[in-house]
Amino acid sequence: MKKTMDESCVIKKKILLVDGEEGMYDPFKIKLEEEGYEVLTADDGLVAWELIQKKKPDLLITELALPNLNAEGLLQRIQDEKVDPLPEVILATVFEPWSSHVKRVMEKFKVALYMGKPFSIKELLKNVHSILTS
Amino acid sequence: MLSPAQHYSLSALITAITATILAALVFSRAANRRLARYFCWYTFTIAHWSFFVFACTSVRSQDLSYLLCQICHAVGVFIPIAFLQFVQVYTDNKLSIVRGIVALGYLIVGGISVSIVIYPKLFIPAVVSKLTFNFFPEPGPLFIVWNAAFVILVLAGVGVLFVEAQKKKGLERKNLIAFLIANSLGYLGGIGCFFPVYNLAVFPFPYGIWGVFFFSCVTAYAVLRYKFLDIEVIIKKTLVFTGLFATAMVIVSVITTVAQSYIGQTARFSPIVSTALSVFIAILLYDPVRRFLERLTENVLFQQDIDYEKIEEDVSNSIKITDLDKLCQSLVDIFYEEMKFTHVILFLYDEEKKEFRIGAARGIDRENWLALKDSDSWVQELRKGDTETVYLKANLEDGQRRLFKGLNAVHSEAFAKVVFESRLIALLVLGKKKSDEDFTTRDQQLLLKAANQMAVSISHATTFRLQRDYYVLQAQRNKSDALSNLSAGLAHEVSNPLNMIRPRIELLIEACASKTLRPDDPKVMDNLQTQLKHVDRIMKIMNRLNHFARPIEGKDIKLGPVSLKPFVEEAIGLIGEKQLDNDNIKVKVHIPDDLSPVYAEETSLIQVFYNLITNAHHAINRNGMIRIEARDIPQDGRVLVKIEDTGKGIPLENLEKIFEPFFTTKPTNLPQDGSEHFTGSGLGLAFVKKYMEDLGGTVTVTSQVGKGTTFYLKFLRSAG
Repeated sequence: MKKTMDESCVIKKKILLVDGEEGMYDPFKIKLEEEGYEVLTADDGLVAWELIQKKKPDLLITELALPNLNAEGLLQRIQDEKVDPLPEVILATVFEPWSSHVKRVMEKFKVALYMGKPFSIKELLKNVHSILTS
Repeated sequence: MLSPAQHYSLSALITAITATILAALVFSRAANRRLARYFCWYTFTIAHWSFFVFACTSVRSQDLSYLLCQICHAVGVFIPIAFLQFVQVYTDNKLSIVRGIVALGYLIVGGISVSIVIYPKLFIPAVVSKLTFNFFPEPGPLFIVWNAAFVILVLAGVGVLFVEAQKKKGLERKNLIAFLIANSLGYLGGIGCFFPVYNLAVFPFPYGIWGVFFFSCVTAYAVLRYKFLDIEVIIKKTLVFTGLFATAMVIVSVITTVAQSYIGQTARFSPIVSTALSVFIAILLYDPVRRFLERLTENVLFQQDIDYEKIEEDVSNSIKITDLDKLCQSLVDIFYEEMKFTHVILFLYDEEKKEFRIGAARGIDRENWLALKDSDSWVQELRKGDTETVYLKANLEDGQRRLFKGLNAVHSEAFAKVVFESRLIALLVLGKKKSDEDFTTRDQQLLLKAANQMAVSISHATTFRLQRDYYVLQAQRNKSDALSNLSAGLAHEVSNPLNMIRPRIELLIEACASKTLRPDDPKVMDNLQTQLKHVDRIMKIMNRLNHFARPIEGKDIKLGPVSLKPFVEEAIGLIGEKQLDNDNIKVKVHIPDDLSPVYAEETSLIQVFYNLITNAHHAINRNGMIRIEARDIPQDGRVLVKIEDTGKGIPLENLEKIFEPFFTTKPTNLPQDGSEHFTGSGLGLAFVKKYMEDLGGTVTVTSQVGKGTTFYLKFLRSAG
C-alpha cells in the first residue's frame, strides 16, 4: 500500500540526519523510509557537508555538537556556499532551547524547528511531514 | 540519743580545741597586730570557758568539779567584755561612750571575777548531780549578777556590731553581718547554758551549747573568709581543717552513740557486741564523711596551693589545641580548676559581629552569658586603655574601677587582656578566688604570662578556624560548581542515550502489535542490545552524580595530615577500574607506604585525583597507561605526586590555559565561550590548581603532543 504511494511520488523527499552518536537515527531512518522519504545519515560534520553538496537534501536534521564540524559551522557553510535549494533545518539537540548556543544558531540561520532530545518517532514524523509538505 | 551531759562534754571539748588552735595560730602569726591580739584574747576566753565546762561536767570528784566550775566562771565572765572590746577595735569605733562602756565593763567583770575567787559560794554554792550531769553548778544569790553582766555586755557588743554594719557597705558590711549572726547564735546557745543552772531544762537546752561550737567555727571561717586578720594561707587551711575535722569527729561520735543505744535496745546484744558493732559502723562512715569534708574544704572553702608552674605549663601546652572551642574550654578549665576561681570566663572577639562573645566559661550559668559590644563605651575605653594587661579590681582606685563596669554582671575581680599583634583578641575574666584570698603578685605574674601565651594559642586557633571555615565554604562552592556543571552536563548526557532507547522501544512495540517481526529475528536482539548499552550509560552517569550529591558539612572538612594513598585509590575506584579496563588503560600506582602525610583537606582531595585521572583517561581514550607515583622530597619538605599518561598530549599553546576556568578541550568543536560545557566542565584543572595553591602546594604540567602528559602535584608535608 505504502509502496504504491511512494512510487506514485515522482521525486522522493530527501532527509539528512546528522548526529555524533552512531546509531542515533537508525530507528528513525526505518520509519522515515517507511513513510517514503529518502534518508541519509552522517555522524560527522564534514561528512554531512559533503552529503549536502552531493545529495542536496530537502531537510537537514542535526545535533549542535558534532565531530569535526559542528552544526553552526555546517549551517554557516550552507549559507556561505549558497547551497541551492536551501534545505529546511530541524535542530534536534540535547541543548536546552534557552541555552545561548541554541539561541545563537536559531537567530543566525533559518531554522524551521527546534526539537529537544529525547523525542519520539511519532513526534519526528509529524514534524518532518509538516515541514516538508508546507 | 546523747544525754544532755554528753552534749555538753562533747561540744565543749571540741569547741575548746577549735578555739584554742584558732587563738594560738592567730597569735603566733599576727601577735604584733592589735586586732589580732584582741581576737586572740577573745577566742582564748571562749576556749577557756569551753574547756572548763567540759572538765567540770566530766570529772568524778565533786570537789575538783567545784574548783573547775569556779575557774570556769571566774574567767568566763570575761567573754562578753573581750567580745565587746574586739568589736570596738575591729569596727574601729571611736565613740567615747563605747570606750566608756568597755572600760566600765572591764571594771565590773574584773570585780565579778575577783568576787568569784574570793566568795565563790555567793555565786555558786555547790555543784550537784542533775539533768544527767555528774556535777552542775547551783545558782547562788549573786549568780544572777554574773548572768546579767554577761547578757548586757553581749547585747552591747551585738548592738555595736549592728550599728557599725549599717554604716558600712559592700563586703565590709557582709563581713560584719556574718560576724553578727555567728555571735548572736553563739550567745543564744551560750546563754541557754544558764538555764540548767536554774534547773530549767527548756530549749535550747541541751543543744544550745552547740551554738558556741558553731560560733567558733563561723568565727574561724570568718577569719579566713573575710580575712580581717590577714592570716596566711597555711594557717587558714589548718584551721578550717581542724574545725571540719572536729565536725567529722562529732558526726561519727553521734552516729556511734546513736547506733550503740539503738542496737543495744532493739537487738538486745550484749554491750560488748553493740559497742563493737557501732565502732564498726563508725569506721565505715568515718572515711566517707572525712573525705566529703575534705572535698568541701578544698572545693568550697579553700584551695590547695596553687601550682603556678603547672598552670603555666598547661597554658603553654594549650597551643597544641587547634580547635578554638576546645582551646577556650581547656584554658577556662585550667584557671577554674587549678586556681579555684568562683568563675572564669573567656571572651573572644568576633570580628564580624564586632563584639566580645563568650568562648567558654565555668561557674556562670549559660543564660547569664553576655556579649560585650564594640559600641559599648566600656569596650572602647578598654581598647584604648593603657598597655597594662592584667587588671585587678582590688588594686584599682575607685575612679579606675569603671574599667570593670562592663563586667559588673559577672562580678569580676580581675581580668586579663589578651593582645595579639596589638589587637585585643580576647579577655580572660576571673571571679574571686574561692578562698577569698587576695590576688597575689605571683597571681598577677602568672596572668600576665598566661595572657601572652593565650594570645598566641588563641590567634593560632582562630586562624585555623578561619581557614577551616574557608575550606568548608570552598569545598561547598567547589561541589556546587561541580554539581551545577554536572547537572547541566547530565541533562545533555542523559538525553542522548534516551534518544537511543526510546525510538527503539517504539519500534519494538509497533512490531509486536503488527506481528511484522518474529522474536528470533536478529533485529530484535540488536535493538535490545543497543538499548541495554545505553541504559548502562545512563546508570554510569547516575553513579557519578551520586558522588556529588552527598552533602558537605563543616564537620566533614578535615584539614590536616592526610595520607595520600587511600585517596588516590578511591578516585580510581570512582572512575571505575572496569571502565579503565574496558578502554584497555592500565593504571599503575606506586605510592610507598611510608610516604609522609601531607597537609590537605580530605573532602576535595578525592576530587583532585578524580579530575586528574579522568583527564588522563580522556587524553588516552583507549589503550594506554596512567602512572601515579609519589615520593618525599626531603630537601624542601614537600611530597611530590606525579600523574603521567600516555595520551594524546596537550599542544604547547594550550598548556598555559588548561588551568584557567572553563577551558576545556573535550567538546572539541563547541565554541569555548564558557557558556556551554559538553562533557568536560572546564573546571576540573582550575579546581585542582586552586586547591593546591590554597594548601600551599603547587601543580605543574609537562606535555608532549602524541606522547603524553604529566601532572606534578607538590603538597606541603604535614608536621603532624
